[in-house]
Amino acid sequence: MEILGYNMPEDLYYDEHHFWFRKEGDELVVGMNDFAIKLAGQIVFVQLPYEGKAVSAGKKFAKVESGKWLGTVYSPVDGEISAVNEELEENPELINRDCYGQGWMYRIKTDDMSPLEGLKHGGREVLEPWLQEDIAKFAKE
Amino acid sequence: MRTRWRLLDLPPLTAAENMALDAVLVELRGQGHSTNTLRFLRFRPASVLLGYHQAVQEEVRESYCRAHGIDINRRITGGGGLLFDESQLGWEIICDKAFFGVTVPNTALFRTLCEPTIAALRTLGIEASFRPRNDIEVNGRKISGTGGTDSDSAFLFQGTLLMDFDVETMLKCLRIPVEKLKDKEIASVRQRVTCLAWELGREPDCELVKARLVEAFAEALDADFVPGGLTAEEEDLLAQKLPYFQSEEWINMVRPSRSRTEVVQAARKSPYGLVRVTLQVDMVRNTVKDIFITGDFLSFPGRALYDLESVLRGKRLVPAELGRLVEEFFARGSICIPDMGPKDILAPLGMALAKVEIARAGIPLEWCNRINSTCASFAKVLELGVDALLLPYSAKDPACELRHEDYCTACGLCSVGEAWQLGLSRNLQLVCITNFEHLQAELVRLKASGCRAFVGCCCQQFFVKHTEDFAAIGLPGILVDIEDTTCYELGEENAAYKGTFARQTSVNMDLLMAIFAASDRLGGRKSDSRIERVNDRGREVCHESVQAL
Repeated sequence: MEILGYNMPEDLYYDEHHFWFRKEGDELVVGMNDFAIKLAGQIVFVQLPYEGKAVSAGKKFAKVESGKWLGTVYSPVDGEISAVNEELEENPELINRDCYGQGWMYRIKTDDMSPLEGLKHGGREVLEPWLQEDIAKFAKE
Repeated sequence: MRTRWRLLDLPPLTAAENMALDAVLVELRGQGHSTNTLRFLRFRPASVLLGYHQAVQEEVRESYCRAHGIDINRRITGGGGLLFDESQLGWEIICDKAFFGVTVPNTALFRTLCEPTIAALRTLGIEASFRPRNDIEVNGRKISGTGGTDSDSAFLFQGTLLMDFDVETMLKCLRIPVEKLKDKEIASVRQRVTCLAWELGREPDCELVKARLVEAFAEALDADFVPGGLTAEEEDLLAQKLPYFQSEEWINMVRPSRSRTEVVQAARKSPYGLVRVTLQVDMVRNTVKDIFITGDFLSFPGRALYDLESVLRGKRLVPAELGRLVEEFFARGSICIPDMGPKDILAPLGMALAKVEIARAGIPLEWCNRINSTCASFAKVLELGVDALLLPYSAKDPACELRHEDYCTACGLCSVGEAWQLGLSRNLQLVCITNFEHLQAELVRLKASGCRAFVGCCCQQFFVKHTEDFAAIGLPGILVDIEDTTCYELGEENAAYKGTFARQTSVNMDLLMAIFAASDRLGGRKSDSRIERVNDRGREVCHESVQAL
């Protein structure tokens, strides 16, 4: 779904840092959204934690570098890393090229998906005001 | 609303202390503790600082640093390696994301945070300006680099300011490709950077620079800076974190398997000047890590070449994409080089990229600078299929009675014999070249006889001198450098031309074997019908074929 020039699939959950999360069984697939990519520019490095690493809701678990900025990835849920996209080690630009597909970053296994309810999720009526607000914030800078 | 910030200006610290303190400050601020802070950093001893994801083995000459008491550590921010000697000044902003009203930094924020440094430099009479995405320059020469990271609800944004610049030490500490550049070119690399001392023509007064920075940040952020020390909580967390930041676990966190840097170079001479491209490439990430375009030509404006380099830096190693960026740069009028156009940059760039391609075919990159190809790319030559191997008389023993004959009996006393054996085992046509006219005649004969491509051994200078002659004959081939002192280095090229060069060179057998191994992988099969081995004095001849290439 295209909103204000950004591709924002409506089946995904988004956190405030513009990472997306997709439910697949008891796993969450994680990636950066189109808005984040356009802000960040070329992704040059993605930290890939070891599989089995424990993650906690609201806590950081990995780093992503673009330009000279080292950004942080936060987990929305308690659980553990069940897979990482090894392709990104050699080719972090996959995120720029296909952020919702080949550019997926991590899979987190969790028993409790309920924290997702606190994230942005839904159709245009939910995503557009949020995106509108962030576009305005960044434009102000 | 005017806000109150802490000004944290501690005495010089070690790299581990400074890095640990960065982590402490941003972590606690991110949890809503402490206050927004402007911090100045100094280092004692001098330190090499890597970007978060860089590998020590790749970036740093460890033995030099150890021998000279230079610390090595890793930043918690991204970007590249740098030398922070005791004269440099670093500054940092550690603050609430809410202060800037954003959760993810953007180009405008980088610019906002560079502005105070620019303003401070201007008060010192230095015409500094912003260079996207996050550098500060003076007339195209970089004087400050910046970077940053975040933690929960806080940003840490940092910059360096080059007070003085010790080029020699920096080159010795960091693995920068200029080691392969000539003196003249090191000077031109030096022109890409500047520092306060050079701009002012005297040693800058560090306290004055700090004061100007504080004033500029106060103005830009509408803040009052109140000098302060660390809080007890920060002191405690620092003591707790310091051992980790001193540990090998942190310093060597990134292993080179995650990045592999190689350097390739290519030069092309046109009537208007020599253009040399030095490419530092990351073979794993497939990107241009750094690039230097040098030579004896003039470009306008003075900074244009550095801008072009910065356009190409970090980009993917895709020749078409890089080519487009160069074309666009020229098309925008961003650079003017008298009598030269984008093609004059693209040609040596293409040659350098071709060497990267050779590496992809499985040849170790340190050898790729020893390989040239004529009439087709390296991969294309192998794909066509190699039918002939040409060997130089200069690699035979000067005492050998066959030194000036066009064949060899592979007695095993010199490298030509070894190469001859290799050629026999691969059913190649073999010729020992005895002088330049002989080479020309053989290439013409081979081409006419249906030979698809050849591998030849000669010295680099010979190839550079005769590039056009090879191209004119039109037989695709790969030229491999021979080892040891060549006629050109000894100023005996005329003797070599005539076949009277008296010394002995040698064929690089490892490289030759690597090329044939790559040939097997790329599937260039031997043509069976046209060429037949004849045991005539141990040499091969071929039936004339009507089928031309």
